[in-house]
Amino acid sequence: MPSEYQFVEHQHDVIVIGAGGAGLRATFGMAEKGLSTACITKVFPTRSHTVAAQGGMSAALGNMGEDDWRWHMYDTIKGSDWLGDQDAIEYMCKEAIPAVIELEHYGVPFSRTESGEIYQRPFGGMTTNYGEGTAQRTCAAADRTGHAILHTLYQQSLKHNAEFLIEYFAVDLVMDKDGVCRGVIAWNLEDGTMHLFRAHSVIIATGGYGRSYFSCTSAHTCTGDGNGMILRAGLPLQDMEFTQFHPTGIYGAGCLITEGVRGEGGYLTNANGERFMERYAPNAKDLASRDVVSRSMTVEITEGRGVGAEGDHIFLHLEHLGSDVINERLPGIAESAEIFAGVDVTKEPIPVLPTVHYNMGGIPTNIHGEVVTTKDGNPDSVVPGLMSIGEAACVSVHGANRLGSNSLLDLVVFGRAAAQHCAATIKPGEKHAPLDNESTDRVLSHFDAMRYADGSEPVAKIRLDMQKTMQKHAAVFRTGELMNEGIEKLEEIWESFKHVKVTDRSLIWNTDLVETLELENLLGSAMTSIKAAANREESRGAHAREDFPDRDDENWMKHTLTWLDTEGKVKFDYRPVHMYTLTDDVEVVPPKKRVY
Amino acid sequence: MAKFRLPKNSKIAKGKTIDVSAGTKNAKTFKVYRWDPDSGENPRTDLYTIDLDKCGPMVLDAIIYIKNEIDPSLTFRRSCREGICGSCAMNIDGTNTLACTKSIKSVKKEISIYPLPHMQVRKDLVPDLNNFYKQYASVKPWLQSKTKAPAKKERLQSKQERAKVDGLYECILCACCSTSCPSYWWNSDKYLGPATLLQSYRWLVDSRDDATDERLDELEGPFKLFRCHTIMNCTNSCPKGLNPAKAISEIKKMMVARGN
Amino acid sequence: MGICAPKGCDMSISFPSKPNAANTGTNHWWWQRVTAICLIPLSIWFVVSVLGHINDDHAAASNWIKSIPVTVLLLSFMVTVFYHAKFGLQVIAEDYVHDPSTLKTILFFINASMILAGLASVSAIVVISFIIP
Repeated sequence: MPSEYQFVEHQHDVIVIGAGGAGLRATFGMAEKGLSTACITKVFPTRSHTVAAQGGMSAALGNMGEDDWRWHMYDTIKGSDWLGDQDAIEYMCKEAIPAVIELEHYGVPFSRTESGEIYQRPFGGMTTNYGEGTAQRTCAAADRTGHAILHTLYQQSLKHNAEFLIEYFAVDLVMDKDGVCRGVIAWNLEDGTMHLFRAHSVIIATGGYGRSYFSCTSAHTCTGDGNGMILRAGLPLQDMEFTQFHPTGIYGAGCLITEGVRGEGGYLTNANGERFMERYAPNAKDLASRDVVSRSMTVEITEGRGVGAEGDHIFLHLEHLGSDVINERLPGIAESAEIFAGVDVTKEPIPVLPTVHYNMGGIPTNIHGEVVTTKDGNPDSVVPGLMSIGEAACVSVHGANRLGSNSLLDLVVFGRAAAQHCAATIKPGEKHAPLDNESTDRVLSHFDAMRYADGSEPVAKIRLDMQKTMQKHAAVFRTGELMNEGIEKLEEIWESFKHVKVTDRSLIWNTDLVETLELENLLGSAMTSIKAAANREESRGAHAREDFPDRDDENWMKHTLTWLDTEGKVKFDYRPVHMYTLTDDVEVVPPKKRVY
Repeated sequence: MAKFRLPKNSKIAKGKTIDVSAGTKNAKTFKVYRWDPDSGENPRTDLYTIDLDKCGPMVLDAIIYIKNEIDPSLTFRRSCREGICGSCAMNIDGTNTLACTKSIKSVKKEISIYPLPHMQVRKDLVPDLNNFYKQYASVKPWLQSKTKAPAKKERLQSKQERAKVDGLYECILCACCSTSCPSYWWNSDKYLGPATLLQSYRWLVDSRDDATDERLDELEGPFKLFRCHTIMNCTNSCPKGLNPAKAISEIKKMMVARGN
Repeated sequence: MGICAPKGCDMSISFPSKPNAANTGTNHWWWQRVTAICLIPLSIWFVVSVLGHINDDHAAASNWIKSIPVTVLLLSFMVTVFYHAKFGLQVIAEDYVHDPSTLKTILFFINASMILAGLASVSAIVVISFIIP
């Protein structure tokens, strides 16, 4: 190991990487159960991107009309375009109800109904009676639900005295020769020291990789660090071809405008002032599923009906809702629209554009959060010592397209499930197996090489090239030709990363090096994503191919697994979609045509 | 005693001047505080002149542009870039605010950028916020209820009761308010500061919380709460438009009203 | 703006086990405000009256003080002003003096001098009003 580094060893029962909604829920869940738990996070917990979630969290409470978790389950399966695992979806939708009640008991300041219950608003793709009516299922705290939930989860973590290592950057997993995860190595930005965290279970909760695209609603810190670590550990990622475009990112800035705007009665118009969603989704209209709305908007723009001087965006109207409703339920987006689009939402429409928002794919796991891979013909072979939750993971509850407000739900439900699983399987204070130096040396050598990288290409340039390539070649509509061009470019960019130049050589708060490590993680995600997209020759959910416009259940109702080698080559395998339920409470929803 | 002079090693020197605006009409100069903990040198202010046509509209866009195109070692915190995570709080043009929501156009002349005032600096624009976070934790910012929550149902709360936490729960813990407060500058080890007190008040008025007495007890004494001298810098600087000064005065009223 | 050498990040959180001495903060704050409000009319009256008697000789001034309402108002003003000054000076000392033992000493001198000054003023009024014929 390069002797220059001060190396501190810590021993815990469990290590959580990431302090967003999922990471926090898992962390204090385990602290509560008496497991020695530490949460490593590169930003202070309330700065994690969960904070930016606006619209709400779905749960069939039935506060605003009849509801049933089975309807929620049906909607989620249909939303996933039948790529979601139905046992996991059953678990999530059923657990949604106690999960949201639990959050309220923790103190989340949910908006209220006249009778004092949690306020619920309509959201895209959420219906009653298996697609018949519109459900009001999304529990909201005005339009700051993510903020309200994330802060509450951090407060609960303080209450349970959970240990946090804040502004530590997780560099890599420590895997032993048998493929067992033994811990993680992290870098403390504050004093520049390196740390080895030994744990019986490492839980990756690092979020998505939205920043592999040029225009996204994601924070600068959404760089798929967990995905990168998994790929370097020789493990696969799942369903990386499915990237959700949110219909309403602010034109130019890319900041999110919640689907809750349309839930509260907002609507989209084209250059003719037409409410065009009525043509594409006669029933659900503006509240169709996100992939459907994003595609419709893109068609309007490409057919010359976009608004603005360049005809390259769409208007979102909410001025008809009146300032009372806006002030009470949508104050945050009124502020955002003012700051980033210079628009007074009580008077003018907001200029919007489909913007990269969420990654359905990620680290394959089972419903306990354990990481799985295919091994000796077993598609559900558990990787010992490794778990994943939240957007970083692919359980898969979102399949080919996530429904709005199912994300906060996913975080809380599976964060809790992971905590319960660890509590059930790990004995507090169990001894750690000895570890050879080789597995840590490899990580430190790689870190050191990056730190002293002295090539010719600045990080910012390589990153921009990657983002522009993904934006152009793996967009809302895709063709084989376009993607293959993108793959060629991305392979060149991959090569150029071998000549990356790091300017800052220091160890204390070296954000130049942080961005280099993040870029490496992003590149892994981008490469697997675009190659998996070119590989999947059908259209399903968010993956819309013009050369294969139909869903092909016969050949493609399966999850894609992608392994990545150091040369950027991708190896594929597949896992079956779980077409079975967890209990007898509900029946499997067989595939059918997906119309809204 | 209070120190009225800066220690020798913190006197700010003049730094580099770099102009990459190349004769554009839309040039703007940014004066940025720099300090490298490894160099042993005093802090300095670098002057960067850039072409605004090549970068986004906000101050954060400009410092990202400087980091990307001029000096990759420029260090600052940033994340959501939409004013909700609270990472990029800094002192811009003399006022604490979020770089991501502060438009470049709103400042007519050269834009000066410093870390949040009166905090220890880790590097460049990154202040040490550990004490700030500890203070937040010290007011036990979580729901404390003596009554058991109903099984399988939410606690009920009327719309009016819920409205009481509006303007409070939205705090993003960016520390703009606390670090703009002279009282906090002088006594940040003992005075909790506006951000923490706002959060304390958020729980004091939540109808579901009934640890009011305990919470008020904890705030007693000359320093934690009463070091607030109603200077109002907190309210003026809050980038989310919240009013910590009002929350603090409401807590003071609660303290008096309960019969001291 | 201070600079500092890197130090270890200590995120351990400790809560004070017992609140600070009874209600020192609240009482202080409350009485500072009560005295401030009382001082508004008293100060106006005092300034106006003193200006009105500025050309009085010693006997006329003594006579003015001897009237019962004036004695009462003067006594109230003096007590309030020094009580208020004690609170105000204490706050300034607490703001700027950070060494506990220095602060203790300074607070002792503030209290002592305000009590002395108050006693001196009150005694003077009492002597003029009731003792000197």
